[in-house]
Amino acid sequence: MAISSPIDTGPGAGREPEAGEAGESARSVGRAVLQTFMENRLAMAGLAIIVCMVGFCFLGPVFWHTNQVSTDFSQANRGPSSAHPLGTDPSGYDVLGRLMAGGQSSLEIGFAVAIVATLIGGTWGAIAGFAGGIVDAVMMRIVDALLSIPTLVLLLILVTIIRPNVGVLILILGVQSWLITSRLVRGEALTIRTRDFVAAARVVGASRRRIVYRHIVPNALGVMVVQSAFEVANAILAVANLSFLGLGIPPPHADWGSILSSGLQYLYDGYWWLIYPPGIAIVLTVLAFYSIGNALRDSLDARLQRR
Amino acid sequence: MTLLPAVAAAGVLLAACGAKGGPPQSSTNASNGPPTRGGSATFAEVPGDQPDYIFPIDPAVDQTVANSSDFQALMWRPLIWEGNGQSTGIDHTKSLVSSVKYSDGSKRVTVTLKPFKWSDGTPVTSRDVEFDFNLLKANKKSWAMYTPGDMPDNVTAFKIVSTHTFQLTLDAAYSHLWFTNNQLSALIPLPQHAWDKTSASGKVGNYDTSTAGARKVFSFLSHQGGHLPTLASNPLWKVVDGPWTLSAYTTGGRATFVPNKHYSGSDKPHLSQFVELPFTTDTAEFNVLRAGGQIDVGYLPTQDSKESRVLESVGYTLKPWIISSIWYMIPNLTNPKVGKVLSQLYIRQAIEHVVPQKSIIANILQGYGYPEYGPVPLKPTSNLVSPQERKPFYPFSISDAESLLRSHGWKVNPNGTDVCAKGGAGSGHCGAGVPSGFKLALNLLYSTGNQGLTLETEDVKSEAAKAGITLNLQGGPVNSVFAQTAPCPTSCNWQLGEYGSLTYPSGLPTGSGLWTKGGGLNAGSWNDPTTQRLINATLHDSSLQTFYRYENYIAKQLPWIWLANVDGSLAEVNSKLHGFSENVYYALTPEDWYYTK
Amino acid sequence: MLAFLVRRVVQAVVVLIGVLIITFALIHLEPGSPARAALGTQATPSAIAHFNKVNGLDAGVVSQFFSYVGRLLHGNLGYSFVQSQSVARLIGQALPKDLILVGFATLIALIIGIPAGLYQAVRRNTIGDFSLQGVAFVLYAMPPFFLGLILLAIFAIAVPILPPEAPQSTNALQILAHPLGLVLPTLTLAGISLAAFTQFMRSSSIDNLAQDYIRTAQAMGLPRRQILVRHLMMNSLIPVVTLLGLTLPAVVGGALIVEEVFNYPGMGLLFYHAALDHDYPVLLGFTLFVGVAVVVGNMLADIVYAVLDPRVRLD
Repeated sequence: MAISSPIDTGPGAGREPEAGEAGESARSVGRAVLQTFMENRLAMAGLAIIVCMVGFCFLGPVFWHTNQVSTDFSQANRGPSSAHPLGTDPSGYDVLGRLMAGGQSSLEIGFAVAIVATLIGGTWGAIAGFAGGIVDAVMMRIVDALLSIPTLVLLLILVTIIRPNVGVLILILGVQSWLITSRLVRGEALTIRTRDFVAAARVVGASRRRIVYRHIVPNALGVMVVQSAFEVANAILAVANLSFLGLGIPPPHADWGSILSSGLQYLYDGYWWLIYPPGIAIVLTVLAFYSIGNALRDSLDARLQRR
Repeated sequence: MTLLPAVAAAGVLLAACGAKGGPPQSSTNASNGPPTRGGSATFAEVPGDQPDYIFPIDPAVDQTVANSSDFQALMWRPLIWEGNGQSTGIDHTKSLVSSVKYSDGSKRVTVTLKPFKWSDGTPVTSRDVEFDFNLLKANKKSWAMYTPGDMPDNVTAFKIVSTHTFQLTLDAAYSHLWFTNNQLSALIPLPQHAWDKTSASGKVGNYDTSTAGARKVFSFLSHQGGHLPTLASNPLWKVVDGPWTLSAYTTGGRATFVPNKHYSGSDKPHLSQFVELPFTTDTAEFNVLRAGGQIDVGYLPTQDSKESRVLESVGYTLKPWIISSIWYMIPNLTNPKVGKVLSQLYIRQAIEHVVPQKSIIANILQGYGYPEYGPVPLKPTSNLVSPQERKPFYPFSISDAESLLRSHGWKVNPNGTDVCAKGGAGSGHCGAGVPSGFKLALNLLYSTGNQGLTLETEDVKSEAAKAGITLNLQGGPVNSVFAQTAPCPTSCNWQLGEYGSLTYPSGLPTGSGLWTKGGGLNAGSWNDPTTQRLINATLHDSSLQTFYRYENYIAKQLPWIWLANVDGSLAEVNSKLHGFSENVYYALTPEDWYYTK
Repeated sequence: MLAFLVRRVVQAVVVLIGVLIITFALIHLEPGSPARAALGTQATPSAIAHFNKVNGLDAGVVSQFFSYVGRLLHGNLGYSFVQSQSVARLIGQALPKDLILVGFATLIALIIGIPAGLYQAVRRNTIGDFSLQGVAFVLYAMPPFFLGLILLAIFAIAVPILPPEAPQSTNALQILAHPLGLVLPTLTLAGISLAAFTQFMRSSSIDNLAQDYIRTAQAMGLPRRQILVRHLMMNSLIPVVTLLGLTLPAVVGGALIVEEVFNYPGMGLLFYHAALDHDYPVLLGFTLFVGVAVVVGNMLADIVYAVLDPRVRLD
């Protein structure tokens, strides 16, 4: 069978970058990021969504005042009305206001966890992947060990000793996330390490440090930036799951996950305003971060190939 | 999640499987028409509470509703059956005794058994009761119901008078009400002629008459009793005197019963099969309920209480199941930081004043609850509720709370936090050990498993804030909360603890163990000589007035803060199934159920 | 290869010991005694004392640990505090259920995900790419309890074509004999993992598309299908393999939320209830199993990695 259409291998690809040319720095990664958004419509949409969400959650309460501290059970579970555009929840809180307050928590936790996970996990994985040998083995076995420990137990302990708050959740989720990030980054680092341009750099006599800084880190940086977008999304979902299990932050605190999981108890009562608004908020936000992460990955990969 | 408190929040349903999968065509719900023979019924077990122990002397770990009420009691009848239909009191049809007489200044009890037979034809005799008693005596530490000083310690002699009559000599004069309902009811005749052995292949003997022998027999029986793969096949467990025998059992907790053909009682089963189904969560059970056709007696999780109308169209009838229980918040009187504050009666009174029972019942519980003013629940109706306790000693009133605080030297900051202005002892002062500047902020540890309780707690927090009492909520899973709400020194850091409810197991709801020194449930370390005296009196004095005295005192002293009482559960019963009665101690009586055409 | 395996096994043992120690320490940090958690309102002082004695809890933590390890070396995983069964039996009942559920879900995610990812890479930035991305992402973005309950509400309640709960049997063969009940939980799980597999496949395919060898292969005139399958796919599978290695713990550890929603008591729920009940033996047994799965999964992933990409040396 003859070749039908050539497989599109990407813009200007197919040329392995040579040593010395791989002068990637953080700035060029930044440029890549910007270019991504300008080229990829999905990423633009995602960014727009996130900006809107942040605005909604953090600026919204300035314009829409609600009481998110005192309950009012006589107003519980009312449908949308002029006083409460999205109705009220089982404790009588205004749902629209609750979405804003909840969004603040969800986004805060999401961003913080992503930063923690990416910084720690990315560095850990990059070092392990590049170093190889015993260092890699030890570092990855530590990751294995920590991954095996049931975070639920950790959570249950902390939840009962300390009143869980945003900080505690960030800690727990951060620990869980960086382990997985490190695994993935290490995988990437392994691949990068075996790329010809690194071998070439070695041959040329580039010092280990130079290799790490000018080759490994920029490539790994790309992966880490991409991964961080996913981490935000994962953290938001993780908080939702924890709330469902009853291990979230106690009332009157709210986050999208706790609003959704308590709302789902009323699935059959037809109180759609308790379910779909937080559900859509979560889905949209996670989608947005995912699209951004994906687009970033495309763009960085392409750039890396173009060198 | 295996606790009675959690169980109290859910409820048990019996399911009868009638027609599979469809809404019933006939709408009649009246039980006119004679009971039809036959049919099978399915019952939804409470999540986390599955039967897993068959020998009727349960170790503490296995003393659960699922094991005792929903499992063992169907096969081995106790001497006294507590709970009569929907009331407290004794069900004489289901009890194995025909008479209980006290004599010798209430220090001697003569009990006569009904002429029942075991399923292999052997009569149930006093020897069988003695067998149970001997096993309890030699192994009381392994028995869930054992409290030092109580059964079997309070029986100094067991005498067999005749095959159906035996006599107990007691170590003191006891209240008839208490001893019959709370002590005698714990005795279950066991088939001595089949179980008095020390190994599966061994011969039956009278090993129970010696302590060493009784230990060996008990060890053998309890080991067999928890061996799940053989629960339904072991010949030991086929010797029953109750209306049912276990025909099948899976380790997941699914139990199938068939009628005991040789049952001597008059309440013989109408059904030909009874099945208990396990569920992982309330939601899972509710989904199956809603789909219809698989559960005959299930329960409606409280947050879905509005779905009762939908369930009606699928063929169910809602029956609120009231259990004899109380719901409360426990103050830790020995907490190093706030113990002294909580020890002040006026503080506890102020907290009680900010509990909005009426609005909780109306708005949160959707009416499936009732007020609670003291240690004796107002429902099920009984003469044990004193006339005084029928009205609240501390009705909901923010202003009363505030004035109590002000008159004791607090600066009240509504929606802020109250601060003690006049510390130390003395009239008009905050109290001994409460210094000036002390902020009235308390940590409330509560169980998040029950939506109703969670909302109730939020409501109380909100109302308390109006009087400046700051309650910082800390939620957790019920077992964790319960594990922490322990008396000092086991666990001292908690300040206010709330894990749900306590079900009074039977008979007289005394405060023994709850507010007595060293009592197992006395988590807050309540230590008061008057309480001790009054509770003691209820154990030895049969008069109702003595009981009322104890009841009124505790209701006023508030060792615990009384919360709105939640209906035990909302049972959903297949509309074609009749005879289901909501026993106030959770007892399950599928032998009374039947279908009509 | 042999040296590699031996090394990894030794490392695995070290890791597992470490895991045991840490978990042991952690669970003993849980405030409140397991006696009270297990006994609930039956927790009279004498019952607690008896419980502690029977379960060896009155010894010091360190000696408890050594007793545990000692028993472990004799193949005894211990006896549950709360359920009247041995830990081995409890795990033996729960594990096959998750092997089936999570196994099927992963299989489905792979079967759909790999070709989908490949397609997306080859046809990237087209409508096809975006829509596949969109679908996968939306499924991923829904928390599992949300997705599961919605599916339930639609397919089991509103349009009752599927049972509202997973098969209830404790026997794996019987579960497989009634697969209808498995449909919704499997789809829920598969839906969530789908995105990861498609996206990984996609991005690594894009990576590889840019490599010299693909162009070389094209220039050499190799058939398109051969290029796609033999060269592109095999090389792009590497990160997917890493991902698979990551899912092995999930297979063993169960899917807690899906199990809870669909009434399917597997490893996830076993662990969850043990954690709540302070059921130490079950907790430790579970942790051990997951630990083994993590280590083995990782090891397998590394091996396959090396096989698929000879440039990666095994060290």
